[in-house]
Amino acid sequence: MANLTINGKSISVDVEDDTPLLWAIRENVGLTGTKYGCGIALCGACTVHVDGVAMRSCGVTVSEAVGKQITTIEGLASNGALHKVQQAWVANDVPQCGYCQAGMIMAVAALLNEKPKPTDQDINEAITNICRCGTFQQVREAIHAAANA
Amino acid sequence: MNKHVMPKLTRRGFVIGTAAAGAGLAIGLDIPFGGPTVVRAADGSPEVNVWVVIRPDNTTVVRIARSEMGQGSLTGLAQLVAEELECDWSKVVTEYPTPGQSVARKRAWGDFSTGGSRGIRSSQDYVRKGGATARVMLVQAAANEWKVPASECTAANSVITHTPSGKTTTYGKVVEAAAKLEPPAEVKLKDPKDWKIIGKGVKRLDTVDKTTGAMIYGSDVKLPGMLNATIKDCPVFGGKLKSYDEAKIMGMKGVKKVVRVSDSSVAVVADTWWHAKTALDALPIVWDEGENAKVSSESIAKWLAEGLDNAQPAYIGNQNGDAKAAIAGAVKKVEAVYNYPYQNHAPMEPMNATALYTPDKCEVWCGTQNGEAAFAATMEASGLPAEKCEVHKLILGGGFGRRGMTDYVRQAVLIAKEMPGTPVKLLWSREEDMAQGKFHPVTQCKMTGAFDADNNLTALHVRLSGQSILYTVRPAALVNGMDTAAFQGLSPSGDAAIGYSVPNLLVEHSMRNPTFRPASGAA
Repeated sequence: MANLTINGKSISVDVEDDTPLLWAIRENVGLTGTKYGCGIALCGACTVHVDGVAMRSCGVTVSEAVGKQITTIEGLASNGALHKVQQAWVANDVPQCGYCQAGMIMAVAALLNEKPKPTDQDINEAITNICRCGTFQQVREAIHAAANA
Repeated sequence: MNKHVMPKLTRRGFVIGTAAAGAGLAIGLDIPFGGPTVVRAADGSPEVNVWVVIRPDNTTVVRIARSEMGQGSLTGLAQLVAEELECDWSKVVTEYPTPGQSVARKRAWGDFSTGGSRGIRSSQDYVRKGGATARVMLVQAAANEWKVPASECTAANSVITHTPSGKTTTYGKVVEAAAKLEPPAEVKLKDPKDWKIIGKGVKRLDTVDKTTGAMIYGSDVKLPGMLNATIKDCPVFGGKLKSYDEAKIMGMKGVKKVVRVSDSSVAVVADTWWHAKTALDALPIVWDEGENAKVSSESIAKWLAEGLDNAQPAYIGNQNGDAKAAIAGAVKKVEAVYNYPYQNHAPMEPMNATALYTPDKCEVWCGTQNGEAAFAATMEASGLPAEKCEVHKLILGGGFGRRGMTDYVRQAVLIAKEMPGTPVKLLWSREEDMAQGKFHPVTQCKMTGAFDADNNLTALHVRLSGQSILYTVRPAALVNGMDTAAFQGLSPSGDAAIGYSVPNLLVEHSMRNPTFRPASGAA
């Protein structure tokens, strides 16, 4: 049993300490916006914020997440308004199949917290999420749009 | 807001309902009082025809038979219907009919298969007619109510106007009457120059849910009492499952059952997927990898290189002049061999399907590029007839051809069949997805060009050696044994014509279909 704080709510989950945070979020908490893509922290589909830092939740254990503020894609909007990154994604029609996009958006939201006006170089270095549909160009445009919003 | 309506994820939530109080399944249900048949959507709104449902608030539900996997067909097909329907685009939503409903209604929605960029191309004509037919019926219903000729009425943005009097009504108000009318035998489609929605850069209908985490993919399905499974098939194609030691993992947390799914695969069913995956990884498995265990990248390359030898048989896909003679007598020759590797489709969402089996009914929830093939796989694996099977399609986390295959559907049903009454979600690990790819074929190509003294190209010989996709996927499409698709961009004429004029040209394909690897379409 572990107590997690997800999207501002305290939630106790009955899992082993070494369970990846991804699976606790998806299966025990029931928030399925965070996706499983590779399980080895390579693709980024499972990206969430842990104390504001973008982390690949398949590579974080539940015990490591205890006592930290976890934000998932479902918790990114506030007061009923989409986050500016989500708004830029909608305005730019970024997603294709969409499966990777929740992780992509979480990674970008964290980047903009750290660097409000990222250069293409900053984006190349920070956003390493994989999109099999190939939306990378739309992602880049939407990041700049969000930064200038 | 535009939205794609997802199947309700309850065990019996997606039967087509009826507004008639207390009535059950409404497919083909005759409303009493001798009136004509009105088929209703689950919320009671009437179908004008199979493509168009209109709600009292003027929301237009466009039925989409093809699958959305990121390519945008969901929106594109809705645009085609909406254009002819003259409905309010801002109030268009979409939903998938199910293959089971389609079968029960004599294949009312036609082909469900979505691949090869054919989704819009091969259905645009009849979905536009669906929209146009519905518009004619809605206008006729308004004209009947006003007792005026339909020819005096026009429709735009879901509003019908009687031009001489200026009277107006809406689709939502006349839809009940329209649904009872006989459809017109012939409809005239709009001239493309008058298109307002088709071909325009409208926003996709499914974007918002893809940015909030609300979109439900196959791997997100949750059913009451559902268990989770994961599977390992023999890592060598054609190999067999020899044995496994179930006792080693039965005590592990959450494990419910170990299932021998086929003669080459074993699955673990557990309370959560993470428990199933952890236990399957710990399960001692002995494979009989068979003859194909000897196959290597080197042996495949050698086997393909043999096909580049002109002495080997080959299909000629394009030919003019005498390339071989021109090359033999050329001042200058340039030769190069190109290799194209196997490619896994690797959609971001690993293969998955959820199945619920009872002796009376088998239901599957999955992302599929071919709803009817998934339905057929459900029938075959469950052993139940069509009327006892159903497939509920979900948005795909990528397809690229891989989800045109139904291996994962068959597996899910076979596992669920071992646990009647319990829904089981089968989700492959990424490792399984890579191991069990139906790869886009490996190919080699030898290009030989001949040049004259002024370096003009006088001859070109293109010799392909590799697997045929159609041989595996659509053998009926072979032409006297030849795979014409192997010559895309090299054919004498048509969409796939070569773009260059070469005085002496020979394009040929040494078809080499291996026993060590199945093939599938575009990666």
